Amino acid sequence: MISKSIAQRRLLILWVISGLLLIIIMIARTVGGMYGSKVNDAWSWFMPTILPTLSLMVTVATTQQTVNQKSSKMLYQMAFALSFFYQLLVLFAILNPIPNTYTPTEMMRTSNLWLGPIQGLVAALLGVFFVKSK
Amino acid sequence: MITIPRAPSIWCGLFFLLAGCAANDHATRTETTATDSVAMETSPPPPPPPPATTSGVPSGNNHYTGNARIRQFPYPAPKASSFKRIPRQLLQNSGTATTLGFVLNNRLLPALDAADYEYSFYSIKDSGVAVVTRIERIRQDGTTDMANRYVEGNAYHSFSDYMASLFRAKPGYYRMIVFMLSPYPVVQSDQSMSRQGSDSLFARGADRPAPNMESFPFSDRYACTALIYEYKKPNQEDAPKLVTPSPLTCEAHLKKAGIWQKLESIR
Repeated sequence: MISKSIAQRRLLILWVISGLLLIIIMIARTVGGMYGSKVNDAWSWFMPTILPTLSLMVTVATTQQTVNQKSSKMLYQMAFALSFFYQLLVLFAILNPIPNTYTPTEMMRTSNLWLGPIQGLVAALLGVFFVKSK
Repeated sequence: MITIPRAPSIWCGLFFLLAGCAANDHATRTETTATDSVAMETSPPPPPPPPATTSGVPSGNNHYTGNARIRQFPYPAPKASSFKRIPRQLLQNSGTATTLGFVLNNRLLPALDAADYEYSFYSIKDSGVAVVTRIERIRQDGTTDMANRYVEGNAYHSFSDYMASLFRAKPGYYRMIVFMLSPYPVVQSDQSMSRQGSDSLFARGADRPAPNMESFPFSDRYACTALIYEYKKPNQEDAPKLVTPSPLTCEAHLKKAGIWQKLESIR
């Protein structure tokens, strides 16, 4: 078992740091002219990939009292690992390391195929720590 | 109420009637096929090929009329990034009469071959020739990107170049050159040609000019005009656009391509 507040804090740190990193990369690519006339499409794709989850986590972490509550360590580890994996996939979709196959926005649209289900799983696991209360 | 005939003889009669029709139909079809095969067998043989001239090019009954199989270059020419008349002294020996064939085979095409260009030919109306080069990737300064000359998409020269391209749009520059040898003034339309249009223009051209045109005298009425079509693809998302006017002059483009120097040296 693991303290729920510790689990929340660690997951929140992971999401805040990776979220900020992804936002910085998006800004850098936008300023660098990577999206050309499709800059709105790019940001419209990016916003729903991290912001809903991140804002929910921040809200719950700052309002909910979780003192003396315990959660499954395995669930915490799964939530952490899957969150990390999800952020890596988002990074992959943003950076588009195979530019001659997909344009940046094509890559973003295509990545929805795998990001959608994984985001659902991540949200479900994070719900254990940020929504469920004993 | 509908009554169904019960007598078996009626059904049998109906059956044989239908069977007879089908058999007739089959026989007619077989007959038609046979007639066709006979018609094919008894049709006169194809006419003999026209007599060949000494040069090997058929002549006489208009099987090959020169211009007929060579497509016409669009006239007025599509809007170009820059253009220039090539000085006559680069194309002919001073003081001697020459032909279009000489200008092509002894000046222009050797210069293009030396610069390793691929090209195709068009006719201009009934007495001109256009030489269209394959669109190539160039650097921003106009020099040919030899390593990635015909590579589609982004080209990377190093790992750091690749890493930089993840954060900064890497514009692609492309160029097509058209030489118009024509007695008509070269005028350009207001409409620009897309990059795909340039690809298509090269691909649809002939591998040689119309042979009858090579004997045309390269008189004072004729001029050779080079048109540069330069394209810039600003990023991976947006389509390439014609750069007009080009930041480089036509002569600078031809020098960067190595064509101008070759024309001078051949002379």
